[in-house]
Amino acid sequence: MELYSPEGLRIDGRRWNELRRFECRINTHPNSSDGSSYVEQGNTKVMCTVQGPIEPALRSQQHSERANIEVNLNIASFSTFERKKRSRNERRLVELKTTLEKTFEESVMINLYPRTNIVINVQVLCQDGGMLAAVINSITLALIDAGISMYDYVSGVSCGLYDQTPLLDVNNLEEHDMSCLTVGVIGKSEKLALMLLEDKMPLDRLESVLSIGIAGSHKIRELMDQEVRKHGIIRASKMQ
Amino acid sequence: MSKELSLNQKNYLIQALKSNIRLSTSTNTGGSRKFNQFRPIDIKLSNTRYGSVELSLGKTKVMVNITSRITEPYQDRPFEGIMTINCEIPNHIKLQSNDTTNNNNDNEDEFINLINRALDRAIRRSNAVDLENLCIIAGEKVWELIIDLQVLNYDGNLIDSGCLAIITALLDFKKPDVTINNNNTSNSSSTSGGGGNIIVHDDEMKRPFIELSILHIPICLTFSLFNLGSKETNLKTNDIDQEIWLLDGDAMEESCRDGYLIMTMNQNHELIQLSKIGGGGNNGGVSIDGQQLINLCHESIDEINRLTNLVKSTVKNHQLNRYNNENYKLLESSADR
Repeated sequence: MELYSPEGLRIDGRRWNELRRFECRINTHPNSSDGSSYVEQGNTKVMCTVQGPIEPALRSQQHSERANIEVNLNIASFSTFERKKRSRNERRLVELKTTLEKTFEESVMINLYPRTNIVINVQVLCQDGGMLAAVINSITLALIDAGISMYDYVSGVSCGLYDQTPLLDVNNLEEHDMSCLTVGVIGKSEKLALMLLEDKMPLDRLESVLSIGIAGSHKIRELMDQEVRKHGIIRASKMQ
Repeated sequence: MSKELSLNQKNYLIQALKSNIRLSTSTNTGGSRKFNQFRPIDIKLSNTRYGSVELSLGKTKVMVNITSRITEPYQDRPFEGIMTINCEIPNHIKLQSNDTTNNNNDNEDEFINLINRALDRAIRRSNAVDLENLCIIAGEKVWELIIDLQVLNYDGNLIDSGCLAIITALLDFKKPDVTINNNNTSNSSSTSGGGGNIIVHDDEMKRPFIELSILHIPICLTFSLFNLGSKETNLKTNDIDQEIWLLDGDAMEESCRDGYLIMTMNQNHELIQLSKIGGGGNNGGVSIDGQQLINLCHESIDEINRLTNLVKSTVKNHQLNRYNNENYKLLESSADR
């Protein structure tokens, strides 16, 4: 199949620098969690709830000077085309869990909540490429909804390299056929909180792929900020 | 080295880094190491069996063994052999915990999983070994390579030393030759399928062993990051003077660092793996500027070339030694009789 036509159109009709449809909602589970969010990035659907800061269940999770961040990542067996039962101890999932924990230990002001636990539950409902980026966006929104202090947004996007052309926000078909890079960018800066490249990519092309990833993350941050402000205005009007 | 670092030790290390001094000495020159300098690497290959390597990186010592056996392929990949990498750290080796108040077991399991995943991405996922070459009979019999990485001593930088050791072992490893005997040749009237018998020539004197098909040589580099300013400064400004990048951190530097970056490249200027997963250090990690990361990748090409040539020359010299010691020259067709 033709992933990128000579006319500059991708298989789903986008151009090289266009994001998929990004839709996000916060405060989706107000009764069962302190903060919650739902993110759709194209066909990738992620749900996230945050409980905390709460008292840790285990004494070993308690730190006298900072909060402990615990991420539980569940990928539903129906999230891919073929059903696949995933055990919680799969190495890839353990690594993703560790990655997310360390990324948000960096962004959350954990020194403000000593001796507490922040539990983040992520449920991936549908996968269509860029799952890690969607999870990062979802966790960011859920933490903001929970009122947990953060330095700045962490927005994630994945981008690929098709021959010589960088492609922004790859979907599942594109992810399989080209090398992909996932970035997590802090706010409006060019600082990377997370960067994950797992396939071969020529070193000369890294700069163009990284710059389009950072620009795409800034756009996603704008879209997330719009939703947060809109939700803030609605709640502020209810207070009156 | 004791497991817990006191505050004085940490402050001393940070102050030394601010003064452009690393505490660990390079035993070659006697002075302190530069920020982008590796510790001396010593590679020993076994004389008695293929695929056994002992590698020392300063005081870090790892051992790799490669064994092969014939097994069934995965059903979805009938034409490919199997390669697994096992990383084991004995109980008596205490890994440096970044946070001493944390549960030690969780931290160590996390660390071992990180090493396993990094090495798996660097070597197996990047197709360093041609797995289709390990196929004997499609769908029935393939070679399985089992790579066991054993950590003998820990002084930081397990990923780089593990990757170097595994690559050296793969270049050195040879497997027995195999002859396929088709059933239909001897029993033309047989109605059974084409399943063939294989003969494994495991006596090297009668038939020489065959080396693996290595497509490229991936080299891992791990950078330790230190944030000298506050966290807010790191996030909000682009002050490069407040960040220090070290190559090949030892155990003390690894326990004090704020973040790290794993980069895998080969000589063809291809990036194989790039992992910046946050530090989880006491300060909560360092964010990397995008442009600085690209500069770092370009500056590392020289080190990648040096390590690749070191691995190649080590294996080549060892093969030459084995050739001379075993008097293989007499087996050449042009040898004097």
